Amino acid sequence: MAMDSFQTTSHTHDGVTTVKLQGELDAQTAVVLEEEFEKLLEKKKYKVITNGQALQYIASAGLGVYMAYIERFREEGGDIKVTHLSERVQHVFDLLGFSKIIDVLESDEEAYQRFQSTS
Amino acid sequence: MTALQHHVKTTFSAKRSHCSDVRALLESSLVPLDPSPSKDLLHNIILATDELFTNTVKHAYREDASKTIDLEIQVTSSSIAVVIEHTGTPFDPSTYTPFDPNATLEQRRTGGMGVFIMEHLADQVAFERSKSGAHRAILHFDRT
Repeated sequence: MAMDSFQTTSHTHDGVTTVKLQGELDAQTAVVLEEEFEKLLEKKKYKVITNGQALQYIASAGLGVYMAYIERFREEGGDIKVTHLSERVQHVFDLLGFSKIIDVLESDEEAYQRFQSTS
Repeated sequence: MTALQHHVKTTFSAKRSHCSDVRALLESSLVPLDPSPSKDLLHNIILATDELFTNTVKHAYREDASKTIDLEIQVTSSSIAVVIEHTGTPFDPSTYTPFDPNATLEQRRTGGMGVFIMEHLADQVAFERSKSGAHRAILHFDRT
């Protein structure tokens, strides 16, 4: 766990925005994800996939961000889905029961298809 | 009492930015142990301590960065204990509403996730007052 920063990069394709999460998401860096979600709401990009392939670590503060924002995206007909979690990060999602209230999926393609089938 | 095999004590200012320093300290202190803790145990210790440190910054000191937090790692042949000591507002278990991981999104509250993680990942969690009057939280992990 040498990396102590966290960053996001996003791109939008066919109305679905994929946000790649990179680094360690904790009480200090959670604000970066908050700002990303705020930007997406401002731009009316409501269908979001957060890809956790490069997410090395998550603390409860990171899950708190999902909890604070997911309803706002759903109210607009969108959602925040989560993909490509490492076993360790997935364990934290499961422990806190977030896998029951958020779509946690294997791949971006699966998440993309779910958005297409519900639109 | 079992003899200490390894002992680290350091002080951090009460800032969220030190969360990553706390994680790095745990990793550098515990990985070289013989036997080294499993990756799962190491992650449990790191995450539970991160949550405890964060709660101390947020709740005990209300983000007052002029305050300090003492962190101690005590390793014996059978256990690893992480002790966090502060002089701010102590955690009061009697006023704490437990986090419910089975709650629906509408019923959920953001508070309590850190304590829930500590209680589930550590083998024992204790809150006590030190002889000097400071408040201590101890996370205890079995090595086996």
